[in-house]
Order: sequence, then C-alpha cells, then structure tokens
Amino acid sequence: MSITLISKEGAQFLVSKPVADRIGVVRDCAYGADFWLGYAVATDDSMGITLANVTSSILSKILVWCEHYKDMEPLVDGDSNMEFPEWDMAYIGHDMNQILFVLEAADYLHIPGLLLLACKGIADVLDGRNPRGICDLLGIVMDFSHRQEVDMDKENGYWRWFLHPT
Amino acid sequence: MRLTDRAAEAIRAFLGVGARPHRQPEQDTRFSFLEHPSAPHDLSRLRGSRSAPGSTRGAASHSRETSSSSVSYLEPSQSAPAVGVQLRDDSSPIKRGWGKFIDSISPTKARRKEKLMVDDDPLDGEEGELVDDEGFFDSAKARARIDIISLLPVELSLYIFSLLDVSTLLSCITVTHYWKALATDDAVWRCLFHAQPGWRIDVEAAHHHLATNTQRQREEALEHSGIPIPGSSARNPRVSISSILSSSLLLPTIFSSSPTPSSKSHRTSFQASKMASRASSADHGDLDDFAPVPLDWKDIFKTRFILEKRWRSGQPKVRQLMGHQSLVYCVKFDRDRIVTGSRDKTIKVWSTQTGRLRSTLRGHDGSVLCLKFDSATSFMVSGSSDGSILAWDFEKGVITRKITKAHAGGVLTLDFDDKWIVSGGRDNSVRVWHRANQELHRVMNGHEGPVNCVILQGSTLVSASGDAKLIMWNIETGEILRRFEGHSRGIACVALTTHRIISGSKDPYMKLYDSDTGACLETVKGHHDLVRSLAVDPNMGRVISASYDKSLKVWDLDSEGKQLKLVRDFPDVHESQIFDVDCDASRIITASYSNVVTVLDFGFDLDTSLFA
Repeated sequence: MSITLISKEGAQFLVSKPVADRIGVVRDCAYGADFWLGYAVATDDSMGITLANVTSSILSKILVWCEHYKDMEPLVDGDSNMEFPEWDMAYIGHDMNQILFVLEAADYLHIPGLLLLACKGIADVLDGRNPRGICDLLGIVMDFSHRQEVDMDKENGYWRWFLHPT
Repeated sequence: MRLTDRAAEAIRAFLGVGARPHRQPEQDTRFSFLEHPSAPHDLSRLRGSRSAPGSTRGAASHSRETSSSSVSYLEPSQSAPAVGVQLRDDSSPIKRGWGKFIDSISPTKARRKEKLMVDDDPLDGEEGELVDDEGFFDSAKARARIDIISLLPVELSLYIFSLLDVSTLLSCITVTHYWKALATDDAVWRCLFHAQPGWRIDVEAAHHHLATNTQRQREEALEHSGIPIPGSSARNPRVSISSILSSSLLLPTIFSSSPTPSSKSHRTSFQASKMASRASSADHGDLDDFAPVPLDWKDIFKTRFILEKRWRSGQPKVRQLMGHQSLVYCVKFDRDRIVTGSRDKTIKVWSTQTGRLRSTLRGHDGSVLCLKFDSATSFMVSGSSDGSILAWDFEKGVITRKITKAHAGGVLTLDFDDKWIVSGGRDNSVRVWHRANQELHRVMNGHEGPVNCVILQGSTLVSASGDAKLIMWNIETGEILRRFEGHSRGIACVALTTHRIISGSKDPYMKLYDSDTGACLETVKGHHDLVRSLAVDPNMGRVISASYDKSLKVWDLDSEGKQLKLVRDFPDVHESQIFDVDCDASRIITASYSNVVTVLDFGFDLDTSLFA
C-alpha cells in the first residue's frame, strides 16, 4: 500500500506506508479517514494528502529520513546522553538553514525523532563557539550592560580555568 | 508525540517572524533562500509582487540576480526541472541515498499547479493565494540569521543546550538575558552532570537536601511574618524555567526525570554494558532516574569538577583518628560513620564529618579482623580471630547474635547483602549464612589456604586465598563457576567492578581479570610488598590499593576495562603497613599497623554530601 503526499507546490510523492507512517500528521490523516469513511484513503493513487506548509525540496529531504527509518525506531526520547547514529549526523549536516527548515517541517509534520535530530544539529552548529561567534551566527545583539559583561567574563574565566588550566 | 501542542506554537512563532522580517534587505539577500530551484524566476516575481514595506522591485530583482549564487536547498549549481526532486550525482552517501530514493518515488507523477506554471503576472486574480508564499519566503530569508533559541519552545531550547559541552554552554550564558536564563537552568546542568562518565548523585541524599532546603525557605518566609519580600523569589536560584515548565506535561522526559547515564560518544560498549548491568541489578542504580531537577546543578557540577581535579592532582586533607590501643585491622565507612576494628578487641564508631569518636563497641574476645555495616538497617557483622562472628544492631550498640564457632580458625573476612552473609576463615573454608537469622546455609570447600577475602555480587561470590587462587562460586548451588589463576603467592585481597575482578597478592602484583571469561587482562606491579587491601569506586572506575610497603596508590580502570593506570601515589602518608582501605567519591580511609585510622579527604571545603 502506498500513499501520495502532495507538497505545497503540488508535487506528488508516492511513498510506501511504512515510510509515510513516520510522519505523524500523515498517520493521523490516513487513520482518521479510515475511521470515518470505513476504508483507507490513498490506496488509490488519485487521492493524496496535501501538506500545505511543506515545499517539495523539504519534503523530499524529510522523506529520505522517513525512508531510512521505515524499519527501525528513531530515537525519540529526550535523553541528552543518547547518541545519534552517524547516518543521522551526516543527514542533518551543519548548514543552519537546512537544519531550520527540517526542524520546522518536522514540527509541522509531527515527527518527534526528526525534531530532536534537528535540535541536535543546531547544538552541533553552536558547539565550540564563543559568545561572539554565536551572536554573529544567529545575528543576535547582546543585551547585557558593560558591567554585567565584565562580571560574567570574570565568572566564566574562573570556569574556563577549571576546564582548561594552562 | 508529546511535542504536538508545542509544535503548533513553534510554527506560529516561525511564521510570525517571517511576516515581519527585521533585517535589512541587503543582509537578507546574502542568505536569500531559494526554496525551489526550478523556479527562481517565478519566485522573485512573487516576492516583488507583494514586497514588504521599504522593499522595492529593484531589491526584488537584485535578489533574483543573486539567487543563482545563493544558498539553495537542493543543489546550488543545478537547476532541477519541474518538481525539483531530481538529483543526479553525488559523492556523499546521504545524497546518493537521497537520489536513489527520489528515483523510487517516481517523479513522473509530479505535476505543478497550473497557476505556478504560468509565467504571467501573478498578481491577477491569484493574489490571495500568493500571500502565504510570500510570507514563507520572507521568513526563509529572515531565518538565516534569527535567534533560534528564543523562538523555539522552551523545552526544545533547553534540550539543545543540554547537548552542548561545558565551554559552549558558558558562551551561551553571555549571549543575552534570555539565553542566560536557559543556559543556567538546572535541567541543563543536570544533564551535563550526568553526561560526565561516572558522575553520580546519591538520589536519597538529594531528595533529603531538597526537602530540608524547602523547609528552611518556608521558615525564613515565616520569619518575615509571611509577607513576601520583593525580589526574594528572584534571589531564590531554584525558581528555574524548567521547574515552572515541569508542571506542564509537554516536557520531554529529559526534564522530568534524569537521563540514564548511558552512552555518550566516548562511551564504549564495555561501559554501556556496565551501565546496563548496573541498571538491571537489583540495587538502587535505577533510583538515579529520579534525581530531582530543582537543585543548584550548576554549583553541583562545579563542586564535582573541583573534586575530580583534586583526585587527579590536588593534595587531600589528611586527618588521623587516634583512639585504638592496638593496630587497626579493618575499616568501613559511609557518609555518617567510620567503623573500625582493632587488635584491642574493640570496634570504634567515628563521625565521618568531624572525625570524632562516637562510641566503642565491646564484645569480641579476640582481635576484630573484619566487619561490615549497613546504616539503613543498622545492621553490622564483625569477625574475630577467636573464630566468632557477631551480628550487631550498631545504632543501639547491642549484639543481636553471637556465633561462637563460626570458623575453626580466625574469621578473616566478611561480606553481606540483603540475603546472605558470607565469611572466610583460616580453616580454608567459605561459609554462607542467612542474613535474616544468621543460620549456616552452606560450607564451601575448595581452597587449600586461608580465605583472606570474600566479595558478594548478586548470586555469585568471589573468594581469594593464601593458596594463590581466586574462585568464583554460585551461592545458591555452592558450585564453583570459575577459577582465576596466575598469582605465584597468596592473594590478600580482591575487588569487583562490573565484569572485572582485581586482585592483590604477595607476589606483589595486582592482576585484572575478566570475570566473564576468567582471562587475565593485565598484571601490574605497583607495590614492592604485599598488596594488602583494595577498594573500588565502580562509578568512576577508580581502584585504590594499599600495601605493606606503606604506600597507597590510586588507579584508573580505563574505559575499555583493560588497563589499570596509576593516577596517584601516596608513599609518605603512612608510617606503617596498611591493613585495610575503603573509599567513596571524595575520601580514602585506611587502617594501619600504627594504631591510627587515616582519612584522606579530597572534598574538604566542598559540599560532597550529594555525590554517590
């Protein structure tokens, strides 16, 4: 059985059920229809589920993830010690733009595992940056007064000394 | 699906930003995001058609020109036809897989909506439908540089922070007030704490600490005649974002219960299995899952960090407890008490915090050679050179049971758990007793020399003997499961961590065995005289050896569990042979020939009461 997903632009993606099942809203849609109409939708290719907020390019990227995880459970628990597989890390990459799009789509489509992966992606982009680097990356203007900054520098310096004594 | 409700919120947040791009257009175009590679033309038109205030057609066309070189989602250099899902090359496995996948989903069916295909002025009659698109593209551009942390639902932001390392987290603290509030949150630092290998919290102590603190705050509030002082809640560091959130059910489990200390990248399968077996074992390992969030985890982290530094390179505060009239054979301690047994036939109980003598227990007619106690049940057993074993209620200081002829010779060693008491004696036998009624359960013969050390672990028992052999027994059946050989002289001590056995002998070597296979993984010579006693901190993989050569050494069991690495050597702390050693997360306590009990405290001036 397969389901047709229609992107924002109207592009159709024919995906198998296990792949589509990874997407929460699709699952809800399909089962919902099943419940109300007494038969499963999307057995017929002419029917489809429109995902009005997801563009073709994002959807195709999302579907790569769904395809990869069609037979196994992704990590969904918010455990900071869990480790994402290498495949996931390569998939999410280090491009903040891509990550944010994936994050938004995963949120909209209800894919908790992918949402957490996107968070992990953001964490990896932030990782190892100094405050200035973070502000530059995200276009943030620091809102601390000079005095506060000095105080914090002092405390952070103390910490850093503990972390990397020289 | 627990993020469902928040998901909608996040979407709104994103689109809300998108509708009001607050960056300058020039800046935007640098990051202009080409959502659909096939239709740059259409898109720029669409954009121009309903541009944001201040943005002109000129700006729009500029964006179109730059779009060819801008960041594109699929393939910057490649303008894909129609649906934009056709990818040819590529080198990376992900992309290859992607392309393959996209082939499989048959783009032949793909078609575009008529109105987007028409290269007409999109304004006529279609305006209403284009509004969404425009919002989307603007948001795409603004998004390239947005403060994502402040836009995401709080628990997701906290989750992101909990994935960072310490120094990045410190950077985050100094970004903005909002970032600071999140990056100093207890939940984040708790995750960070648990992510450090071996760092554990004594959950019971933590809950107790929390309860008494809350109590104290209440009392303080009462003292001020019930009138809340302005700013008092702000000064209270325990009012954290996550603690407010935890009242909702929207949180990922990360913030309502502690992460199980499992695999981080540097964790090996050995450690993972170690953790798994800890969790499955009946002891209170899984209580860790309920380490409370509302503690000052940042401070706890810092304290623990300092403590670890001191273990590596700092000098401990050394204190000597004097009171025994003769040499001290054995010592055991917990966070409240140090209990020692001596040749002067007494057992003395000292305060761990102050080192003051609390009480002296008399009852043995010979030297007290071994003992073990459990504060929770106020249960203690001690063994003597006259062959007797005494069971005590040591809170009351009374003997609850006296076994006069427990062994034919002296009782050299003792251990107990919830079910069994085991003892080893000079008569070469190991005896197993029921803990509940102290009746003899089984006598296990197999050693040809005095049994110097026994250790219980679950249903197995490991005994070390003067015949230079280690034997692992099944307590239930009494059968010998495995023999560990290799030492050339008698073995004085043995210690267990998960899947590993460490022994110390008169050779004077220490050996590391795999308890599952019986293989000897390493032999180290650290001492030049009999290795008399070993203590382990299984969480940290730390091993402490004490010897007749008067030195005390600290070893690290590496993450693979295959090597013992010497970390610290204390050759000068003791003036005489050391007979026994015990340790916890912050202390080493030894008993020695010169009648003194020596405390090496690495946690001086620190609050180490919460560390397991």
